[in-house]
Amino acid sequence: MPEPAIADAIIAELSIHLGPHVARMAIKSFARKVDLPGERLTAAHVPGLIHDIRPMLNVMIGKGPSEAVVADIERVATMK
Amino acid sequence: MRSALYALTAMTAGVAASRFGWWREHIGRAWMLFSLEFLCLLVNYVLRQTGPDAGIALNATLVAANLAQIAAYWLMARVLATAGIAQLISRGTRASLTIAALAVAVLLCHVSLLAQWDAIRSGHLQPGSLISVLADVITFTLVAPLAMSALTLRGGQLSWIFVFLTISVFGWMINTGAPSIAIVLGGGTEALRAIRLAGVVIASLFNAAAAGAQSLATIRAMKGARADA
Repeated sequence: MPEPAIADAIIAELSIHLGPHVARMAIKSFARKVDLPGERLTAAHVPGLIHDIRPMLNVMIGKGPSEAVVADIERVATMK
Repeated sequence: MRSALYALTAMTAGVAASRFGWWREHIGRAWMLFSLEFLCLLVNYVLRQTGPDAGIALNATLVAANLAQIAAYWLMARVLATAGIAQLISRGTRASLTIAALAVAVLLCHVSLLAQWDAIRSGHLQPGSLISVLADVITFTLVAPLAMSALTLRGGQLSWIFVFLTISVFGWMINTGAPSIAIVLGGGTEALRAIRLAGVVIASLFNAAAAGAQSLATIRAMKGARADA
């Protein structure tokens, strides 16, 4: 069964920097792209999601810091 | 006091730019231009105090400061679009708020705009003054996308950067609208000078605060924001 908790954890991680509005939009946009109902991300979706949001993070918080945020996302996703 | 404010803001913006490799990244370019703006304002102010006859240098620093200001605010106002998330704000909302901000900008600057128009018609155009007025109109218009960015990012660390930049634009508005504010308050030359200075203080300090918030957001992200929060 897919874990909605992964999406929630990633939204919480992104919200620290981008706010909940943009964080939710990023997950929703990715879920739509891969035809995923109800934002039910699994650990297998995380690399694709990171690939999708990395350009946005690079612009918004810079290339160096965005790598740290990506590492945080990977960490929280594997903990779920 | 002005020189200390300009120096402080140039330095904090420079520190923020250095965290993004100066010119290598979009945000770095914006902060480098803010740093250049306040550096030029500092040189211009010092020149006015020490060598008021240095016309070319005064004009050059004024033009450079204004061009850097336009480019810096423009880059910051374009951050959401560059990141590919401008669609979070509807096209209609963006257009209507920007048009409203333009109307306020023209209203605030109409006396200076008319003076520049007269100068062009009489052939006594001063590039420094013209660019200064145009910089005011463009910067005041950009308050709309800056405020919309702050609203879109609300709840996140990055929103503070846009909140502070929006307030800094209001500082420049106070500086430009000082003659009208002084008339409303019934003050004379001293009041006008105090209002202008208040505008510069707000614009400079909040620009420095935005640069500080940018640097802090970067440090927290690098350290692992969750652990630091």
